[in-house]
Amino acid sequence: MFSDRSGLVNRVLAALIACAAMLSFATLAQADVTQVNANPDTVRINTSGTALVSVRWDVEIDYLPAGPVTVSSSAGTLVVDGMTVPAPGGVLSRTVNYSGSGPLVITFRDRFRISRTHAKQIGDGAPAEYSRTFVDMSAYPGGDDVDIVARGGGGAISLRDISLLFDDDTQFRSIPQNASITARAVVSTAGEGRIDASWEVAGPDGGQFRPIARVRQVLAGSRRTVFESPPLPTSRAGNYIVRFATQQNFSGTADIDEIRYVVTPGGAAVPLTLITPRAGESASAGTPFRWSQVAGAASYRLEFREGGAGGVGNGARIAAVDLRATQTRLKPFTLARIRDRTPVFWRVVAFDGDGNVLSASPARQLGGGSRSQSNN
Amino acid sequence: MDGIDVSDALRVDGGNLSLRLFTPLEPGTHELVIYSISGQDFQIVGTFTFRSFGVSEGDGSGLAVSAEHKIGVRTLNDDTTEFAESAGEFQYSTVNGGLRVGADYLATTVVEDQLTDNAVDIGEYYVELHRPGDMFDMTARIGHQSLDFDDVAVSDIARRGLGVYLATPGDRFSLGVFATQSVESLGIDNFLGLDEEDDRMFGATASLRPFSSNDFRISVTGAEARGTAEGGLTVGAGDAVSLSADGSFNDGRGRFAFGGGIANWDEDAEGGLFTEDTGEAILASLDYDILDGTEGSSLTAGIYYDRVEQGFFTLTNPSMPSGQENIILSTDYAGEALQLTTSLEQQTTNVGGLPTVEVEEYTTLDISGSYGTGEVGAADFSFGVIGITKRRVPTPLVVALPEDFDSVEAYVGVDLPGEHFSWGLTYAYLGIDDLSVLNDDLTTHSVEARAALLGDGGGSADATVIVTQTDDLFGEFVDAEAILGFTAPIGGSDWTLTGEAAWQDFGDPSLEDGALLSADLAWAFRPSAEMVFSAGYSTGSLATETTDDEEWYVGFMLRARTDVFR
Repeated sequence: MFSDRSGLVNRVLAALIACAAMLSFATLAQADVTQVNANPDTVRINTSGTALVSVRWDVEIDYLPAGPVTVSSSAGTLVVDGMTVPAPGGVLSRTVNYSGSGPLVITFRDRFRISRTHAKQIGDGAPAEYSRTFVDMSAYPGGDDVDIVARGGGGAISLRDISLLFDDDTQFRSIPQNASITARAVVSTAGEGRIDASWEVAGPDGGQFRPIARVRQVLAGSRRTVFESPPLPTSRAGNYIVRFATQQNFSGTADIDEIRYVVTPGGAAVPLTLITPRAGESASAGTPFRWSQVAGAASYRLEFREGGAGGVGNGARIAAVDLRATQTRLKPFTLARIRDRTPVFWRVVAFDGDGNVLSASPARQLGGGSRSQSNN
Repeated sequence: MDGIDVSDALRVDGGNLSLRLFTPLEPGTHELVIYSISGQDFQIVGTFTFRSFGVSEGDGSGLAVSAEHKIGVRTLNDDTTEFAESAGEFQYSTVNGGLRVGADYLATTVVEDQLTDNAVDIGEYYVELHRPGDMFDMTARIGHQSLDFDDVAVSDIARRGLGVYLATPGDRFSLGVFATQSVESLGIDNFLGLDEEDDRMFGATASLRPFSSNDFRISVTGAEARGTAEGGLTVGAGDAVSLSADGSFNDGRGRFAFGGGIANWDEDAEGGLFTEDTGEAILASLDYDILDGTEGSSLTAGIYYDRVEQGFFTLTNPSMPSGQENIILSTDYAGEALQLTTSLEQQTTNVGGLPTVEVEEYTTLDISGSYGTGEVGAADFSFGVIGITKRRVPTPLVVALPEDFDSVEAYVGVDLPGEHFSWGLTYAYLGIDDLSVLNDDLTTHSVEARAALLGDGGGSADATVIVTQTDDLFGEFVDAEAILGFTAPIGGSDWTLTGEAAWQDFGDPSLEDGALLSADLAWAFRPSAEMVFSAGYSTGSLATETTDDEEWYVGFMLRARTDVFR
C-alpha cells in the first residue's frame, strides 16, 4: 500500500515536474518579442526622387523577468524586384523597464530613404518590401515587413533635388571674424510630409555638430522651397562645417551635403542682417527692402549682384541704391534693371561718413522659390 | 551714377540739381543718368559721362590676398593630434575690369576639414575676361559660373566649366554658350570641369529684344547633359529645349512672362533598366501693380500658371518640380508699416502620368505679413498662416484609399531691436488632421525666445531658448533647447574669451539628450597673430566626434593672418 502510495506520489511528482517543464518550455517559446507590427503595413511613396519613408514599429514583449529590457533592431532590409539593395534604416534601440507581468508594446520611429534609382524602379512596377527583425536580450526575435508601392502624385515625400550653398552662391568661404554669413538650401520635393530639419554647425576646428535653428514645416505637392539659415557663428576664428539635417536623413549628395567656411582672425565687422524680402521671394514696386541698423553707419548701399563666378561679392553688380535709411522701395529704373535677371542676389554694405566700409550683410536670393512658399 | 540709384543724395537748390554722394568716387570714368519718373514709368532726361581724378596706386590693378595659417595640438578624449592648416582667397583684377581672377584654397592635415580627399585643395575659382566692343561686349569665363537663362531649360545652377557670352550694347541681342560639369563640385580634381564624360553638359542660349521702344524679349535655350541625378545610382543622359518671352506693359505697371519647353531623360543612359522619359513644360505669369507706391502704399496682384509633365527632367534645371498643374493667385501689399502677402494655390498631380494612377489635389493658402518700421527701439511684429488641404480627385476605382489631410501652420512674433539690448519672442503652431485610415494626426506648439546684448567694449552675448510640445501617434512630448554664445574682452588687455553653450532635453525617447560647453581664450600678441587656448566638454547627442557618450578636448594653437591689398 505504502509502496503504492509512494508510487502514486512519485507519479504525481513526476507529472508535476513534467508539467512544470512543459510550462517552462512553453514560457520560453512564447517569451521575449511576441509580436511586431509595422504601421502602415503598406507605404506609398512618391517616385520622382529620393523617397523619404517613415514607418512606426509596434513591438510587443512579454514573459520576461521584471527589470530593464533593451529591444533593438540592427538594420532594415529593403528588397526591390527580388534584389536586396544597400540597407537603409539604421539601428533602432530602446531600453524600457518591464514590470514582469503582461505584454508591453514599445514603439519605434524608423526613417530611411530609398534612392532615386530604386524609387524609379518601384514607380515602374517593381515589387518592393522593407522588413525588420527585433530582438531583446533573449534569443527569440520577431519581425514584420512593409510593402512599398508607388503613388502618382501624393505619397511619402520625395527629394528631387537639393542644393546647399552659402548666401553668396558659393560652396566654400573664407571670411573675417565677426562678418555676417548665412547658408541657403534650395530643396525640390514632391509628395507630402512634414519636414523636421535643423541647421547644424560644427566648429571651430573640429567639435560637435550642434543645431542653431529648427525648421518644422509641411511640404505638400511638387514645389521648390528656399530655406535660409540664421546668421552662422563667426565670433570665433577657425574652421566650420554647415549642414541642413533632418530626422529623415534628408541630406544631399554624397559630395556636397556639407559645406565649409573658414573664419580668419582679426575682423572687427559689425553684424548687419537682412529683414525683408525673405529668401526666394520676388520684388515688385512696393516691396520694401529692410535691414538692421549699424551703429556709426552714415549710409548704406543696397546692391543687386549676379552669383556664380567667385560668389556674389565678385559677381557683376546689376543695380544698387545709396541711402541713409535702413529700408527702401525700388524706383522703376532699378526694378527694370533687375526684373529680367532674377533670381539675383541682394546684400547691404554699411559705410561710415568717410566712405569706409563698416559692415556687409550676407547676400540673399531674390526670386527662385516656388510662388507660394519660401522659408527663412 | 554708374548704375547706383543716388536719389537720396540729390537736392534741388535754387532750381539747380545738386548731388553730394555718400561715398567717394573712384578715379576713372563715370556715367550719370537723370531720369524723370511718373508712376512706374521712367524716361531718361540726360546722360553725362565725366572723369574723376584721384590718387591711384600702382598701375590701377587690384590684388587682394587674405589668408589664415595655424599650427597647434588638440587632445580629444586622451587622443592627441597635431595639426597645421592654411586657408584663404586670392583675387586680382585689372584696372578696367577686363580680367578678373579669383580662387580660394584650403590646406589642412585634419581629414574631416578637407574639402575633398586632398590635403591641399582649391575650392572655387574663376578666370573672367571681359572685352567691350562696338558690335558686341564679350565675356568669357573659366571656372565656376552661374547658369540661369530661363525658368525651363537652364535655370538657377552654378557649375564649373567654360562659358562665352556676347551681347550688343543695351542687350538688344545676346548669345551664350557653355560647357560645364553636370553637378556641383569643389577641389583640384577635374579642374576645368570637363574631364569626365559621364559628368558633363553643354548648352546655348540666345535672346532678342525686337523692339527698341519696349522691353519685350524672346529667347531660346537648348542643353544636353550626361550625369547622375541627385540621389541616383546610375548615369543618365538627356536634353532640353525651351522658348521664353517676357516683357511689360502700361508703363511697367504690368509684367508678363511665358516659357515652354520639352525635356528627354534616360535615367540609365547605357543600360536597359529604364526607358527614356519625355515631358513638356509650360509656365506663364502676369503681375500688375494696382497701387504703384506713389501714394505711399503699393498693391500688386498676380496670376501664375504652370503645367509640367511627370517625364520632365533635366540636369540643367534639376530642381524643376514636375508632374503637376498649378494655378496661383497672389497679392502683395506694402504700406508704411504693414506688409501683407497672400497666395492661393491649387495643384493637381499626376500630370503626364498613367491614367490608371490616382490624381490628388492640393490647395494651399499662404498669408504672411509684418508690421513695424524696423527702427531701433520700435517693435516689429511678424505673423503668418499656411493652410493646406489634400483631396483625392475621382480616379480609377482600383487605386488605394485616399490619404487626404488638412494642415495649418501659424506663427506670430515680435522683435524689439535696441542699440545695446535686443530681444524677440515667437510662437508657432502646426496641426495636421490626417483623414486617412492611419489617422496620423499631429499637433505642435513651439515658443522661441531670443536675446542679444552688445557691450561698449566689444563684448557681446546672445541666447536662444526653444520649447516645443508635440502630440502625435507616439505620444505627447516636450522638447527644450537652449543655445548661448558670448565674447568677453578681458579688461583693456589683448586677451579675449569667447565661448558657447548648448543644451537639449528631448521628451521624445527616440531622441538623445545632449549638452555642450566650449570656449577659446585668445591672446593677440601681434595685430595679425594670436595664441589660442581652447577647451570643451559635451555629452549625449552633442558628443559626435567619437563613439563615446562624453567628450572633452583641450587645445593650443598659434594663428596668423595674412592680408595683401594693392
